[in-house]
Amino acid sequence: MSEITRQPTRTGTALALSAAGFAILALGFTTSTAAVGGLAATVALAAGLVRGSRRIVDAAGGLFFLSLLFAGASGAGTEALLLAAVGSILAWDLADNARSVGAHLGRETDTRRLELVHAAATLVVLAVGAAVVYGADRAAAGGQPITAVVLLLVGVVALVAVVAR
Amino acid sequence: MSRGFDTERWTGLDGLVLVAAAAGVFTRESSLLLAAGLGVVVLGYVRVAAIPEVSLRIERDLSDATPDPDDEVEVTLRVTNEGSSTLFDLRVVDGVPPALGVVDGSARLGTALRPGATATATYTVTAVRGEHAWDETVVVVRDPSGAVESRETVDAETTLRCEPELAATADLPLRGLTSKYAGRVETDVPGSGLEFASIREYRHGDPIRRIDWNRRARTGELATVEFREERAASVVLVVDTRSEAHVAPDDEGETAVERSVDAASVAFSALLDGGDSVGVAAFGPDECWLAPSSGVDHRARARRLFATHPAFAPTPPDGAFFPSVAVRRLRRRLASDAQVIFCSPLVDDYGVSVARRLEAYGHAVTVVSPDPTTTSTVGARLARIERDLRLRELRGSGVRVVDWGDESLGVALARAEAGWSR
Amino acid sequence: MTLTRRLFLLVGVVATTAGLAVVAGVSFGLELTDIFLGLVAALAALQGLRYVQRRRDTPSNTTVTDDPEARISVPVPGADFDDDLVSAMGQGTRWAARERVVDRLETRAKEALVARGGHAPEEAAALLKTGGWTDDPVAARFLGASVSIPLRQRVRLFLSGRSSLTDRAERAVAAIERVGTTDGPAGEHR
Repeated sequence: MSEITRQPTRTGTALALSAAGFAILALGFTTSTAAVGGLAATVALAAGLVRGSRRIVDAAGGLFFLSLLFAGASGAGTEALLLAAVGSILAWDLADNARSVGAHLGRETDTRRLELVHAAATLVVLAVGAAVVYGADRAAAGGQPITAVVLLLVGVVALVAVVAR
Repeated sequence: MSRGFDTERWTGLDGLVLVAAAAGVFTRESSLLLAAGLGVVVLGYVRVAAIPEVSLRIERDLSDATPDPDDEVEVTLRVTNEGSSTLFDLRVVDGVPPALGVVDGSARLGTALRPGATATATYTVTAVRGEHAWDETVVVVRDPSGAVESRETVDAETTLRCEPELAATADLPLRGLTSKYAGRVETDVPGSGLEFASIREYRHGDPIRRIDWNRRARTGELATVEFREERAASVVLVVDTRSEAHVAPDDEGETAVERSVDAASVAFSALLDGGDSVGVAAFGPDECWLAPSSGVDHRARARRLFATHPAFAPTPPDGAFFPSVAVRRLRRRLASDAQVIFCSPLVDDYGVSVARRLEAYGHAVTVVSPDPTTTSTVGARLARIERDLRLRELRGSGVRVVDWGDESLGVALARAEAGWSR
Repeated sequence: MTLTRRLFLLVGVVATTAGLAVVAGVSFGLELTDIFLGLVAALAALQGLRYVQRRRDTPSNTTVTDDPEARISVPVPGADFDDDLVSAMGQGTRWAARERVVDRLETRAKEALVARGGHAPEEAAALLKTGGWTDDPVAARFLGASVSIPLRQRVRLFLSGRSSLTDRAERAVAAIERVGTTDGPAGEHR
């Protein structure tokens, strides 16, 4: 054997592509263009995992993001968009982790426990976040005046600047 | 805790959140604002990422700590989390000794460990002569989001000692390597170990016992018989261990130094069995000298030396080396009648000069040269030509050379011997 | 926390609270036009794109593990000559490397002629100069003989793409290998 194969792990690739599939499914409940965008993003993700390239995986993440934007702008349902967002972020995260674990440990090592724990952690955070955001939306009944929206946007911008590393 | 460094993994997410929020405002779609909110939650998760104190214990077990060469040894690595916090993302790389290669399984392990939990990795290495110590184990720890990473090392002392038996095969043709007749000696008693050599004219003062009475009876002349003592030879096996000698035709198989040590250990055993007193020396940055002697203890000492002395390790040395100093030192240590068997691949010109110098100092030199050249590239073919020219040069100046290629050592010695007796 | 961070935190908390308050029904009596909204959105988008661009400039910062599983690898004899050939074809150290290559081949060719071919050293030097030591004109020329290569052969060589320095050196090595064997030019000793 001698040298390890420093390519993204098989477990990680399977997990990432499953998450991507879920995202496509969720996008399918929005517009068809967004769903096609999601499909293209999944293909890019697979390509990035085959070649072990950080750039291509990031580009796939970008494609997912654009699909989400398009879906949202075309008036998608909140539930579908949130689920698609969860799926997309999870897919990117698992793909990048598969690449990282492969670079550190190689394909020959059994990394199932490691990657499943990581996937579970990310999934929990995303699910809780989606639930909180959805709950807040449900709690705020009806359409909102523009002032509220603007103030919230400014607030989000500022908080992001604080919270980002 | 401020342990570890930022992997920059989530860089750019804040930008995506802003773009999504802006798009949400622009299109008046609350769904996009919610997606941006989800992004903010993830950013918060990344912001609070931290690695706890890492406290790991490592245990390493070998299925056989003293194997024979080419045996497969199974190594079991156990990693235990001795800290009080869960380590969610642990990536372990074991420090396999440089001279050993992993042939089965993986010397790496990836897992999540609760406090007190243990993870195990099993792999197999092939044993190679020498004393091999494991390096430190490298551990990469990450937090669950992957935003913070830390590199730690853990040690567990483990040594694999492979000391092959010094047993020569019975049919090893070593007669040609040393000359049994060391010189003329006058002794009183003709007995075992003495052989008739010649008759010369009687000189005043020769002992009466030595007079050839048969001739006196036949011709009336006085003549003295001389005997040659069949004395055990004193042989020193000098192994070329300079960094230049650490070459190999490919990544499988043994290096030239390993083959030289193989030849030396086999020759040692055979010569010792034949009654000679044999010593060992290393010609290289790491000094090694075992004076010629014989006996069971000496054999055991040599066996240990070949197996564990750092000079004979399969990894190239990195110390400074002053060749002329080494030659002078070797010359001082060699007894005047000691013969030398020089084991070297002869891949550079200095090896040739060492052999010739020792021969010039009066020691009978035989060179046993394993052939590490190949024909895979232009340079390799040239190296083969150069080595051939060196062998010819040595043979031309009267040094016996055994060219040991891919065949077994016995076959190479037999072939060389046949050449010498022609 | 730095000053800017504190400022952003203040703005963030105030704005979010006010926004939620408006949602909850409190009215501040402010009316904002669409243009203002568009401006704010555009600014946010631009800032966002700047942050995204940052990602392209930050490399992945992670530990690199090496390969303890592999047996330590030692060089193949003659690897230094191959390195010289590569240097001789590249930039920078070209001429020094090329000189080393040719010198080494010349020396070995002379030695081979003496040791294997049975010539005297002066004979060997002479043979090298005239190129009579081998029947391969490319090899002879590479080691300094003023032998002319017939035009047809030169064209063929050029077209076949095997005329690089490495190829010519290989032909020289092959020619040295043949010295002293029956494949050498007529009149060679064994």
